[in-house]
Amino acid sequence: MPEMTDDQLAEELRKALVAEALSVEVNDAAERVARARVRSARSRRIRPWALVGIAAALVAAVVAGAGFAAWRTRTEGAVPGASASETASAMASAEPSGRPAVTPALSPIAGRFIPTGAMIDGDGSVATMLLDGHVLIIGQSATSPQLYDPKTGTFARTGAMTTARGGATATLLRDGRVLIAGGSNGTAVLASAELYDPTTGKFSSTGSMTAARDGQSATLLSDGRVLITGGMPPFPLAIALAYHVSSGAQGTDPVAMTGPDNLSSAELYDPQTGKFIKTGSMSVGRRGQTSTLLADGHVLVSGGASESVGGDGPALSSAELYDPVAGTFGTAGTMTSGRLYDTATLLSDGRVLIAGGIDQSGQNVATAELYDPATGTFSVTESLSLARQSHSATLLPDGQVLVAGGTHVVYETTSGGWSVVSWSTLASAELYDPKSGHFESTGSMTTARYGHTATLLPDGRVLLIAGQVTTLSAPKTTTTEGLSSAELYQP
Amino acid sequence: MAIEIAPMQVLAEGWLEQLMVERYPDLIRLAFLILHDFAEAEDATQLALERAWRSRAQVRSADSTLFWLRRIVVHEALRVRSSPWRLLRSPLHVAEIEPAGRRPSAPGRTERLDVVRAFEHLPADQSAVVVLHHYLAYPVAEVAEMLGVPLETVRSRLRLAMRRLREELRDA
Repeated sequence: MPEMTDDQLAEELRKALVAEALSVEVNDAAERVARARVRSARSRRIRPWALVGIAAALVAAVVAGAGFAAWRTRTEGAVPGASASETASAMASAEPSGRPAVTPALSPIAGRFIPTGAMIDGDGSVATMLLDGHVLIIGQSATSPQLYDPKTGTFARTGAMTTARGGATATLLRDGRVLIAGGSNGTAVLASAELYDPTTGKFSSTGSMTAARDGQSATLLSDGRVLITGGMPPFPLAIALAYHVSSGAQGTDPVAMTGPDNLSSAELYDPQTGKFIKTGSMSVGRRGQTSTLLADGHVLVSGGASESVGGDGPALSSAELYDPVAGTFGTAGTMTSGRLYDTATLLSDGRVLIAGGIDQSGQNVATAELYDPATGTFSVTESLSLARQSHSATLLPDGQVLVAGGTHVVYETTSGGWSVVSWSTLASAELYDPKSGHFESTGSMTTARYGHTATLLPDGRVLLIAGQVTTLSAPKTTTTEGLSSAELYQP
Repeated sequence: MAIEIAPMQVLAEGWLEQLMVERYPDLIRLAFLILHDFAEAEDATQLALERAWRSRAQVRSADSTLFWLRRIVVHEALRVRSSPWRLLRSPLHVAEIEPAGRRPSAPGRTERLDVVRAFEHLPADQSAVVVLHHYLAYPVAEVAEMLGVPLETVRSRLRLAMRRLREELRDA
């Protein structure tokens, strides 16, 4: 064949491909589409939370110790047919979205993200704004604490905690100190707690909780005390070692496992006495639940997982309301689905926006709902643009909610149930407008991340820190890496 | 400026089904160009439509639905193409045998046979960019968005593909 120019070759190629395509005759389109619709609606055998949860936390749990890596994910699953490098970048940046290829990020109305200083190291999972505007970030190791200064946009080391704590909570007290409680030190779940004093930059022990907890929720009450609920209790490492890892999140054999349920108990920390005391218990054990202080002083606790040993699951749909005066929990209705790794955000009008997460089948959802304290019920609102889990949701000064990042998992039906096809870390963000009840796209983050922290700064910007990104390290294997970067959302 | 778009819940589901029926030939041909096998293209398209139906809540506007559907089909075809059992057959073997399901020749087919054969020898990642850019005429930026890879990756794959095609055609 004579030598062709690029354009000629491209034209020959186009004609050849068109001819090839047209050689395919199709007569049964309507039938096939109808069949696909029927198949997609076929109810899948609900796998016990075992699968994604197990594969996710199992190896990590054995290697890293009890509750330490419970929130980390190392999972295996079928991947889209592509070379490893292509899928690696696809995993890091792919956005399964039906939107046209436009970039709204720099428009004057849409918000945008800009990078800020990076953390000293990537060990940071809980962020707390202090009264002076600095942000305290705490990670798993005892030496992890760092302070972010919004004026300079930089991170600096502060004092070390008294012990390593992964899965601990951090709560700003009225007097400016921060209560850090529970978590795991790598081999044991802790009942101990400590206080961070911003004036000295040091941590010191305070009273211990009445129960050891990892992944509990902690909420400052109107009266200044801190309500601690649920969490995973201690369990013998032998149980973790007895698990076997399935060949991947393929929805095959469920792995039988036993372990203590998550805690239904709750307690109160009184900063004035420095002590914890038991209060009423929830109706069910929970870990990873959301806990939101309502305008009337009650606390809405929703979702979470009833068991977490070897992996969180299944996601609960129940919600309960804590009455600080009576010291008891009462029912608060049921969400439209189970939720774990979701977000709950108090809106200016007193309702609570609950969005995304994974449901009782273990699959991620795009749905969102509103809890109305006036009626005590949940109702569906518009869904997120795509399913997200371990994303962040932050109330902005204008009343909108910024939802950012998270993980998006795509599944396919298999003969055994379902399997993971792709696992993407998201950089996209959207805004929920409570007045219209709609989600709208906003600028994307500079780095895709999930499990990050998001803190509203006094100047109205949102600081997003760390988190993780999941990439493909080998066929059928995803690896999670911690991030040390941080960025700011300018509304 | 903010773009006002109607959420999928408002659009009738019948609309999406109708679009899928109208676009089905388009979608299965897209799968066929990547898989070079009609039976596999049927399977891949079927799975893609199931997945599209399950995630239909993602669809945000009418004019981006085709892009969204094609994206799902491309990813499904690439997944099928790289599935373990398929790789047991040598790539050359796949290209040399006449793919099943070929319909009667289109006019001028014999002249283009060399180009088609050369195209069938391309690895999956190059096939995908060639099909999206040269056949569907998507600009490089949209190819990058559909595949979820950087712009430069698309450009370099296109360069490599064209170079490889030239070499094969020269040797033919």
